[in-house]
Amino acid sequence: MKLTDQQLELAAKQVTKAMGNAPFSEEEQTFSPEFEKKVARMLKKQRHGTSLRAFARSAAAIVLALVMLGGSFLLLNTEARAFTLSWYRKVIGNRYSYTFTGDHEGEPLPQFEITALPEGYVLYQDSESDQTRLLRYRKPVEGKSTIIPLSLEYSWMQDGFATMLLEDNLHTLTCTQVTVNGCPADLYRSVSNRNSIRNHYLLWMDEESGIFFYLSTRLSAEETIAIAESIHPLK
Amino acid sequence: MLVYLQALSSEQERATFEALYLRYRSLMLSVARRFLPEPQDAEDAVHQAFLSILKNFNKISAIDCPETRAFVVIIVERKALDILRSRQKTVPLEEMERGVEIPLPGDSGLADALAKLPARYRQVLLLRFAYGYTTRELAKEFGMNQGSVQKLIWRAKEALEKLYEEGGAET
Repeated sequence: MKLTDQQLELAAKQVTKAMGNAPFSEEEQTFSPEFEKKVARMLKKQRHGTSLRAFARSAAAIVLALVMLGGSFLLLNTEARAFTLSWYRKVIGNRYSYTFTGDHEGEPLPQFEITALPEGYVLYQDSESDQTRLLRYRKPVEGKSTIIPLSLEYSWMQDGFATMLLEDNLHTLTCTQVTVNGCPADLYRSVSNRNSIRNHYLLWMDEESGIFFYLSTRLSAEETIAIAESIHPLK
Repeated sequence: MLVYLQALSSEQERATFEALYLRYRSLMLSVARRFLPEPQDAEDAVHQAFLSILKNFNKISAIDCPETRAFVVIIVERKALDILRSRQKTVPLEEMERGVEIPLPGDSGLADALAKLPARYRQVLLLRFAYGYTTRELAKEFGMNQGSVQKLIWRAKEALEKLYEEGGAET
């Protein structure tokens, strides 16, 4: 017998339907960091086309290590991602990964300033390298030799990664989604199990300007967000 | 691995591709691992499968539907078997060609016979007749020239006809 194309189409569609409903495992799988980078490049490429120059740029990686002391991490073992046009976040095990796409090579980084810096904080470092600006402040504690740090870092949302590694046996960590002047933001609250020091790490992406901000404080969540919302371009 | 991708033409396509990636990547890795015990190999298969999907993105009409789920399984199965073939030259042909286990559609006829074909034959017929791959597209997917693809389709049809006539679908 000779099968017609019509018969074959009908049979093929029945098979794909059966395959599509087959109980293949959909259990969440963990991919290697190399794979994640490779796919981020692929996603970037399909956003921005095929130029080799752009591909080379994607090799550049921004790594922000908040706490990198190793050990097991129990915070999250599911993957949660947020997609926007120019970034996405992934949470796998002990790794928070922010992947960006953007093309600002050669563009000067805009200057921003905190316009509502809490009382007592003094700027002691203002540096810029690799299109990232770092502002460090500190507040002396009266009668003690310790200081309370506060830092702001920002950079272009450039093709690549910013990864945070967080450890568990010294810190308890929670993450909340908030907004900063309408921009999506992640507020991480880290509490040291050893000395009860509480840090807030606020990360947000201003898609309009293409800037990724990272603010670290030892203040409350409300105060941290208020500082973030007071950050404006330097006039 | 440096790859060259065609750009998707619209924001909607880009968003769809990203959603597709998130929806199916674990499933695809799970399928690839059935054939490839080395994690690196399995990830390579998934990566190559996504590249292939990107190149044939017009075959996808919706993300969350059986047709798309089957499509990504077919593509990653293909890539995984290609890698297996290149890694283990001594692996028995029948084992390599078994592919993923597919539930029979249950028509006790042509569809069941098609589901039972060796993986390579099943793949080429499904891509051709369920997803409308042209000979040229199949040639790229299977890494062969168009003449060889036509021969492959012919052999696959012949095997299907034989299986169907022998009542192989009813076993």
